[in-house]
Amino acid sequence: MKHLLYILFVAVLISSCEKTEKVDDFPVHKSQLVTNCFFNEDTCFVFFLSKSLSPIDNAPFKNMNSSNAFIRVFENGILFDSFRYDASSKNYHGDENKRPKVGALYKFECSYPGFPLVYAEDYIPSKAVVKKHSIYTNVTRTWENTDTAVYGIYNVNLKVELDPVKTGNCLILSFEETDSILRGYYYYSSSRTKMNLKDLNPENEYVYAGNKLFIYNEKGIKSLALQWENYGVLFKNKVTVIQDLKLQTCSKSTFEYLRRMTVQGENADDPFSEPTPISNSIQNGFGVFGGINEMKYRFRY
Amino acid sequence: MYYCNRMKTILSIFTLLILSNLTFAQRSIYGYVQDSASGERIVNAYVKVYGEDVSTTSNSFGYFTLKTNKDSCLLLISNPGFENQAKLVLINEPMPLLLIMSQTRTLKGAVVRSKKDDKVVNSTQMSSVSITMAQIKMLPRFFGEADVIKAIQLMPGIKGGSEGSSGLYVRGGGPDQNLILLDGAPVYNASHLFGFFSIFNSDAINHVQLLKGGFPARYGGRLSSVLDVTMKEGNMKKYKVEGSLGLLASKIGIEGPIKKDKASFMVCARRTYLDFLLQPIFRLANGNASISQGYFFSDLNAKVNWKLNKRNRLFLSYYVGKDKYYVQSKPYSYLYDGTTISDQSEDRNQWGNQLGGLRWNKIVSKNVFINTQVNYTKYYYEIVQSASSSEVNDTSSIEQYNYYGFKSSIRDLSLRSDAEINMGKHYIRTGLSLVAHQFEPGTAVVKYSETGQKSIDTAFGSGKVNSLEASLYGEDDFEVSKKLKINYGLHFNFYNYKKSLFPSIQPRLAARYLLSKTWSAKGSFSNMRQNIHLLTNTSLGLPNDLWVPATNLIKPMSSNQVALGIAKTFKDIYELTFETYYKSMKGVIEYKEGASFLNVTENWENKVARGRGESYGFEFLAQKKSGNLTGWVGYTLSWVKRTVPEVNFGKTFYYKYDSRHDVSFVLNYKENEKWDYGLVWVFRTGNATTMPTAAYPSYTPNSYFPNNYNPAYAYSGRNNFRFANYHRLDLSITKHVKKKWGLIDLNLSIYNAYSRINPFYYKVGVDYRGNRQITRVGLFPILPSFNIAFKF
Repeated sequence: MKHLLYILFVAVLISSCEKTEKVDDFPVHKSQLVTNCFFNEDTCFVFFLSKSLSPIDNAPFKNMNSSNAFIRVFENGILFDSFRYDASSKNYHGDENKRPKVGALYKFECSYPGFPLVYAEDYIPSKAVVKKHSIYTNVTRTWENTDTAVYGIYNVNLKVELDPVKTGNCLILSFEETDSILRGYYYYSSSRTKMNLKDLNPENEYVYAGNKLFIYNEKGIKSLALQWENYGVLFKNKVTVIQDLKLQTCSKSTFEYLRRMTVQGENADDPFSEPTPISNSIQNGFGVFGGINEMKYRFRY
Repeated sequence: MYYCNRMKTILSIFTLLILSNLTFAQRSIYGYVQDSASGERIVNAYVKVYGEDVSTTSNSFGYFTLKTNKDSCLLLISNPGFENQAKLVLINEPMPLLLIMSQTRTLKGAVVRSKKDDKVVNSTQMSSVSITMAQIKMLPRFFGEADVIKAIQLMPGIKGGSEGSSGLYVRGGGPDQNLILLDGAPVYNASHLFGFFSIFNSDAINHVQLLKGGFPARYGGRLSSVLDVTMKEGNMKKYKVEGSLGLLASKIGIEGPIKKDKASFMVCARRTYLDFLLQPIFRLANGNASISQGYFFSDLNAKVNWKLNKRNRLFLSYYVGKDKYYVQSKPYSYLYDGTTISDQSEDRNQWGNQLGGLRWNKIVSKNVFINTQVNYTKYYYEIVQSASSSEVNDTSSIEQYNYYGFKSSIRDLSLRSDAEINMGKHYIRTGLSLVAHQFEPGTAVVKYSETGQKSIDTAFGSGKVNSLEASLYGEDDFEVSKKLKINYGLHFNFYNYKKSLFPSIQPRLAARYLLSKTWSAKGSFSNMRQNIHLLTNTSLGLPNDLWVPATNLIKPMSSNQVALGIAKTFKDIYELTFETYYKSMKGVIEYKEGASFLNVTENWENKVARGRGESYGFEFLAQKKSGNLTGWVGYTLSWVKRTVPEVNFGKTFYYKYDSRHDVSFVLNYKENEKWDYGLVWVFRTGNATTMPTAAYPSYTPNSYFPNNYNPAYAYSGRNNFRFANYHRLDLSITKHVKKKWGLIDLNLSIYNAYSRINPFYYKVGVDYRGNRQITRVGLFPILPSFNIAFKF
């Protein structure tokens, strides 16, 4: 109902005239090479290449259908692998299919005719380490009460203590879909879980976008105090709920890329939001070269 | 310690300046300037001693005072919209004087032959905008409504933000940096209908003045402007009814004497009728006669003016206004499977202002005038959703009730006292004020009850927060020599929030140097401080724009402004002003990247970042204030920039409402007593906005194909692109019809006469076919409107 206000506002807009802008004076865009590669210790490097377009160019984005790129990856300054085009998957795979290691510094270089050399470097940080957690729940609202269950909204309060050295200063937290056997037909998904952002512990910086919580602490993330609402059923026989949290660690540049990309995507249809520029770690081009480490933390309540 | 030393030094200089050159041998002439027809005081009238370089302007209560060396003298009085007057003041003339002026409209022929009015040249005040209500009413109207703020937007240095908006962006300042006063009480949201109309009912307003720089020490609390609006006092002579029927709203106002020449009243009300007009359409759309929905705004201005005696006067002012959007489902029952089911619900959004003030004017002695006032002001915004239902059959009865309410508000209680002391060459103003602010950034109430179930009745959200502000000021309008006059002063402010105290000393200085009798050069410096912030990222004046106190995290804002200018009058009826200014601002807030005002759930402190701002430019204004043809040409060349560490990667960017060139051309022509014509043409460089410079495929970890429907956009910086230039022509024609019982004004206005689609916003996106495109949305093509006004 809060948004009735905006419905009225939108009604004013609808009654106005909308016109497609003829953008004659839009700056001419010089295409740049776009390189995308996320890597972790469980998979090999895979590069996707494409070209940037003008924002009003209607050509579809596609992986570059060409074997002309020359890509190399270095590990701590020493050649690690070279990459060749795979026509079936339209991406670039390593000759030796080597897997990267945690902590090593990787640098890639890519040359392509007609474009300057693009390069970037990143590393895979260690996994987040949870020392301990405490959890409690409380019901905030109910709408049906049967002999066996209560249907309603309940708060879950979770406090997590982390190892700040291993966890580092960038963390991306999300809820995993958990098909709870104990719950029978009901499962929890990220879209049904609403984070209460007002009660986050203030020592960290937060951005909540795309059902993910981007957490940053310059000095290392020591703890999290989370509170969220679950909409569902509470069985009266106190059946245990199992829920998974996904904790991803990455470098600051990868963190910023993912955070800004997610915020930009989320606001794509909101003309009143302030645009979010995406930080770019690729020199002379666009895209991302980012190492990510991931752990799932399962807890019960 | 730093503040103590600084204060001592400044106070010493201040005292020395006052004590120097004091003159006590002069004769004081003081009194009020008054409208002959209504008996109302005239604000800002220019009073000059003939043959001497002694002049003054009446204050916001119509009071004036000046000193002369002569026993008898001739006073010349002038004010736009009034016939110039001369009054001989003899040696034994009893004080206070009453200087009577007649409105030009009441004279046959209505041709005004103005005598010399050199107020703009003689006054130390620069960067001042003053438009008479008569001028405002002659301008073309938007939806049939004459609007005070839309008229002010036509002056150089002032921008209105988006199409049709009644926002104010003064010399690069934000919409929160304007101190808007209605009879001395601050107004926190001066707009109706999402900012398309201001709350000021033109039939209830007597005088409007806006300062955009060179602020005297008596003003404080905002960085960029002071808009001082004075309500009518009420006719002291006879009863008068004034009203109008417009396309969107109707107004009615009554004023008259409670006791002739002793006390008067004024009541003026306005309401829109969109809800009545659209009711059938809504019903058709809903297909349910039991549902009613609509929107309206209404306001009421009232004032009582009581002359206790020649030296004492009381004013009681009141304003209440609200906007309301509602959907109501009336009680509705039906029978289903032997059970009677009943439902009813109500959803409403409403917001509004309530203001009240009591002012007491006292002429203490021949040299001292004091005004003391107590004010109350409140702006609130609330949402209420409630629903109740029942199911009744032979065996059971279940009733259910749901309620959700959200409320935010700001409320001020203030006490203020100002004194004006005429000491010949020194005209001293001093005063103090105490303001108790109460903020309620947002509280939600949830209630739920059901037969046989435990009830819920809980409140959560940000609670009420209090802060206190105390101010003390002193200023002196000092005539150093015949050519040089300065106005210097200090404004002390102490702001308390929780356990933190934010003191400030704000020096002000303005000077005027007469180059000749018709030329003067002016300069000013103002240091300003603002202790409250407005959270908004649009110019729409949305009701959920939130006022919040400065805190330890989001500290007060401050600014320094320097302005230099030249004022010139020629041929007695033309005024020219050239001004150039530089303003720097600290602590201005900007929405962070990705923040949206549509996201109402996020904590406000997380959405904003603090930074610096600067603006500079040049303004030119040529006005013709009297005669059958009046109007002005204004031009502004300006630059407005912001630097916020958390925005645009810390690089300086142009402000959203940075507009390099701004031209306004306003003409009012009074052909005769029957016909008036109005023309407004405005042009300005398009606002700055952020547009992408490249698009490229986005991937997420573990994805193998680019996301064509959600590409990534690269930006070369914030506000890197310009809207198309804005220009618009408005026309109006008014016919005055005299009837036996009174006067009818028929006004036809055409807004945007050549139907220019001026951009309201741009949108970059992907259509349903996956094509990337840029669209612009424009509001209001050609918009004719009609208004019938009457008075008797």
